[in-house]
Amino acid sequence: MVSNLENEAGLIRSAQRGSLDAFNALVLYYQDNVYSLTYRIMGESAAADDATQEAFISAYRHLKDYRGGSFKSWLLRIATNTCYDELRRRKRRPISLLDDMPGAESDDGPALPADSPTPEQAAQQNELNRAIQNCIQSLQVEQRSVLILSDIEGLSYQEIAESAGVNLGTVKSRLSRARSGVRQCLQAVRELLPSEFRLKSADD
Amino acid sequence: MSTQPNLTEQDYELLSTYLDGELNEGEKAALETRLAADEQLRAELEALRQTVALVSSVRLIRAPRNYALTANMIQSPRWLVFPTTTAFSALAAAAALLLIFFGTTLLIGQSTAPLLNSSPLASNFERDQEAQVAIQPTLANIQATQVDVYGGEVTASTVIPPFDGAVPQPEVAVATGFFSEESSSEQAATLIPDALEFAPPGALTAISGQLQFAAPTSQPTPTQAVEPLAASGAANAASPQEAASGEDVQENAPDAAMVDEAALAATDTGSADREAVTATSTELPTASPTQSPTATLTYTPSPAFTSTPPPTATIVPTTAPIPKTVGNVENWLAPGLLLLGILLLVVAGVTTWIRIRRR
Repeated sequence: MVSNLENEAGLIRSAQRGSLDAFNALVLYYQDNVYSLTYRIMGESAAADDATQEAFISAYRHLKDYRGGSFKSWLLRIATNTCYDELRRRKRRPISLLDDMPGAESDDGPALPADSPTPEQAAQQNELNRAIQNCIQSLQVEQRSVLILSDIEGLSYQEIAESAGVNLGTVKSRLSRARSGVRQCLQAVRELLPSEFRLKSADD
Repeated sequence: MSTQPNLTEQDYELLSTYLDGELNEGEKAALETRLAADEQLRAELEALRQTVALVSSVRLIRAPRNYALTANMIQSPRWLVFPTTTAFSALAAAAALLLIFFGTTLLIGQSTAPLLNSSPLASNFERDQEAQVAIQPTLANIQATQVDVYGGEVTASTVIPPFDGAVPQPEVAVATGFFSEESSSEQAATLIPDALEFAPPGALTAISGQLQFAAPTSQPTPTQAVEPLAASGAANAASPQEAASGEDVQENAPDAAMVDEAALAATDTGSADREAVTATSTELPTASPTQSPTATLTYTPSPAFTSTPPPTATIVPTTAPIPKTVGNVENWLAPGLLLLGILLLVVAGVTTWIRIRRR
C-alpha cells in the first residue's frame, strides 16, 4: 500500500467532476484496504473479489454523496454495505462454498510483505492468520465488520460509526463483544498458535 | 463469554474502550482506580490487549488484482436509453397509469357507442354550435352585397352531417326552385372556393345556416315551406359576437342583427329592387358523390344598405376536403394510448429493477 496519498482532496474533487483517472488513483491507493475488509467479512477470495469491484463501482456512482471527512471510512462503509447485501442475498439463496472455505490453504491471499520474514516466520504468520480469520468469521457480521474496521483497518470509533452507520455507543458495545468472542475462539485453538501468541485463559 | 463471572458486559466494554483510548477523562480515571485495586480486572485487561494485538497482527491482504475501473464498468447498459433515477421511474409509472386510464375509458366509450362519431344525427348540437361561429362572415357578405347564394345541400355523409335534421330537405328544394327565377348577377365577387377548402367541418353547415336565414325574409311566398328554416336561421344569427372572429369577415360588415333588418326590409318593399340570386351547380373535385346543390335563395337587401350598385358576391360552396383520417384517428387513439401506457409501465419497471440491482 502506498505510504501516503498526496492531494487526496484534489483527486476526490476531480473524480467528482467525472475524472476516471483521478478516481482510479484513489482505487489503487485504497484497494488493499477494501479487499482486506471484504475478504475478512466475506471469508473467501472470490466473493471478496466481486465485492471489492462492486464497491469501487458503487463508490464512483455515489461520489457526489461524499461530503468530506475520511474518504477511507466512506469507502469502507460502501464496501461493508456491499458485503452485507451479498450476505443477505446468500441468505435468501444459499450456495455451496466447499472448495473455498475460510482457512483453506489457498484462500488467505498474499499478505502484504512484512519486513523480510524468515520462512518459519512466514509459515507461523500464515497459520496465525488462518486461525484469526476463522475466529473473525465465527462472529456475527455486525460485530465482524466493526472488529475489522477497528483492529485491522485502524479506523477510530468515530470513523467506524460513520462507516457502519451506527452511533458511538453501538460501536463500543459491538467491538467489545467482538473482541471477547475472538478471545474465546482463539483460546479454543491456542495449541495451534505459536507459543508467543498463546493467550492466557482464566484457567492458566 | 466472560471468563470472569464477576465482570459484567459493561466492564468488558470499559476495558475495550480504555484500550483504544476512547474513554473520557472521568471514565478513564474511574477505571484506572478500579484497575489499581482489582487484580482480576487487570488480568482481563491484559488478555484483551493480547487479543487486540493478535487481531491487529493480521496484516492487510494485498489485493489480488487491480480494481481500477474502466469506462465500460461505469456506463449504463447501451440499450438503456432512459435514466434510472427514482424520479424518472415514478414519472413514467404515473404517465403510464394516466394513459392506460384514458385509453381504457376511450375504448369503453367506443365499444358502447361505435357509431357515435359517424352518425349524421349524433352530433347535430355540436355542428350547430360550429355553424353559429362560421355563419357570421357569410351573413356579412349577404348584407354588404347582393348575393348569389349557392347553397349546396349536403346529403348525409359519414363525416359531415347536414344541418339540423329537424329541417326537412324537400322544403329547401322548393325554395330553390322558386328563387332561381330571377337571376342577374353582375360584378360577381366570388368567394374563392379555396378559402373554404380548409374550413372546419362546420363550414358546410354554416352555408346551410345561411340559406336557412335568407329564405323566409327574401320571399314571402314560400314562407310556409321554409318556415322551419327561418327559425333555424334566426337562431344561427343570434351569436354575432362569436361570429366576429370569422376569418373572411369583410370590412364594414354589419352584424347579424343588421342583416336581419335588411332581410325584413326586403320583405316589406316587395320585389321591386330584387335581384335574383342564382345558384348553379358546380362540381368540385373534392365534392362527395352524395352531395348535390339543392337550394337557391333570392335575397334582396334593403336599399338603405345598397345605395350603390352592389357587387354580387357569389358564394360557391365547396365541400371542404374533410380528412377522412379524423375517424381513423379516433379509432386508433384508444389502442394507441393503451399501448403507450403499457410501454411506459415497462420502462418504469425496468429502470426500477436496474436501480435496485445497482444498490
